Amino acid sequence: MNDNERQFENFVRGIKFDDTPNSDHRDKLEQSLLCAMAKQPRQIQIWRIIMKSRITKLAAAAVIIIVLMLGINYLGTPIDGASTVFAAAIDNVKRAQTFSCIEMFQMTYEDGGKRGKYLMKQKWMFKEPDRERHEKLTSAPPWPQYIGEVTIWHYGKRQRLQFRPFDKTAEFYDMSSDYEIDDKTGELKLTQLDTSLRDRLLKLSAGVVEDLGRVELEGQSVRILQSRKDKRITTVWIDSETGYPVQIEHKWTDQSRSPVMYTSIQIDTELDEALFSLEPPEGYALSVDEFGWPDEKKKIMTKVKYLGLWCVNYANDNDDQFPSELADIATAGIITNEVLNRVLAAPDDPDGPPVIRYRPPRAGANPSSEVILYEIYGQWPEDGVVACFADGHCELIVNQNRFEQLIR
Amino acid sequence: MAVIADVCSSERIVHVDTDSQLITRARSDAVAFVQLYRGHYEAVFRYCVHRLFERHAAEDVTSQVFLKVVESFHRFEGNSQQFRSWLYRIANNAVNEHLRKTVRHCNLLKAACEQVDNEVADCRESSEKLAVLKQAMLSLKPKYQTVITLRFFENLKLTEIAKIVGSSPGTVRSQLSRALAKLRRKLATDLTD
Repeated sequence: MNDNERQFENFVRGIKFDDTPNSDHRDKLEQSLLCAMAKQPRQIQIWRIIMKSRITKLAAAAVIIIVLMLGINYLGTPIDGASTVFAAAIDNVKRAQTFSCIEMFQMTYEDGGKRGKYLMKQKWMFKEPDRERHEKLTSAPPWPQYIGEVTIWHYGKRQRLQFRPFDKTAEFYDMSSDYEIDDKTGELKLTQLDTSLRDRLLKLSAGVVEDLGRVELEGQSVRILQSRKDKRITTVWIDSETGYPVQIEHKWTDQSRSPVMYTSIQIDTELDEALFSLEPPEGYALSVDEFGWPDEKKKIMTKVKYLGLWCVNYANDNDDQFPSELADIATAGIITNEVLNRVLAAPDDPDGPPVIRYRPPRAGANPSSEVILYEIYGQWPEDGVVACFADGHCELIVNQNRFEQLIR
Repeated sequence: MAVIADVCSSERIVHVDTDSQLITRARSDAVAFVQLYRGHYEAVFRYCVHRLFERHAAEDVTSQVFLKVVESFHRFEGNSQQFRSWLYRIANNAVNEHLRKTVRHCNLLKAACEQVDNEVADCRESSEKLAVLKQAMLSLKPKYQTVITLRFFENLKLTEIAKIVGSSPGTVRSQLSRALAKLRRKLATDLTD
């Protein structure tokens, strides 16, 4: 403590503060809290349990995003002879500043052991260089509260707002410790605006070759083009004036795969600034997210989550068999050895030894409680240990006994 | 209700090392939750009153803090130390929100000064200092008020303050230093006026 601090401390000591709590207020508040607790809904559904922490929510969101990326990557595989057309199309959008579209595909959900399907419909929007908006237009039947949920990212300010019309609540997040892994290098970096959906859709539309003629789509004259490759059929509705796609359908001759549809595609059109505002709509109760993990844990969480999701994807593609060792995901061509090693290394020592350990899940184990990846530690860390489970969700486990039981 | 009675008759019965177990039990056990609440009520109230300088406002904000805890408790996964930091973060946000919403800086000062004027003569010197401190503190930015309050009124360590405000201990140290320098200038001016 320096002189300034000591002086101030003495000054404070000399002041008589009336800060004794009032037991009447404490007791009344206690009653109010008990009433409030009684009104709290019980969190018994699997989804709710999984989604109870922000980190697991992010992990779950990342599962969806990665699955979509895989799908879109697959969609975006260049169709023969398309590169010249694509180059011309992509050249047109170099000046494009905005993008929006509605994405639709069939989604499976699980609630209390029961499985069902629903049509996932969501709206994506972005405005370069750093604004993004996502709107859930539908939700699985057991969770109607997510319908209309809007998330707005401001990567420049490193802030995020999420609000739900269902209960008129809004939550504000600090994104200063939101990281992602660069797929090409394995480097950890701060999250930033991702324009790849737009670029891949354009690439896809540039690859279609068979002209099916002109039709009217929502009062607009469009040309329908189609391509088939292997089991994949891609149909693109292209605006005759701009040459941009306005709708894309991607389906497979194999009926077991659900089609993916992109509608209302708008490229470089005016998007109202208000759509990206970080102010919640009037009448919404705003809260500030209180779950700020230490920055170091967020970095490790990003790495563990990244590897965990690739392991889950590996299992999805291999009859539910997880890799026997992490090197298998590199052998399978999912990521390179270089990327794998970099992701396994400490955030501040990207070329150093692994700080994350993998253990294949035991046969018959419950995926939501079976740890597959965890942070290596010597002495139990004060802030806990990051772990990823076989269902793809991640947790920061602070109770050493619990962790040791999980990996026993 | 025996547990509650024990808590009532013994202040600070909830020790840090048992809090983690209490936190786990409090998720499904109202009695455990009450025990946890009673163990932390005073700290939250004191923080609020040291930031707001007004008992009634501090009680209102304390209520909001614990109602928020009830609402979000199912999402909290941490040990006793993290629970304490989490409580302070909620309290800090609630106090800042209160100050923003009500724009009560002037009213608070006025009320504080009136209250001070009514103090008995033997407390005059302390009361004058208090009034000056209130004025000086409330003129600081909220982030400076937070670090000063946590450090000098709640006697927290720099590392714990860092966890609460989401910065590094080094940043807290420099914020504290800047805040004290501002406060010192302000206090010197006001005390000599």
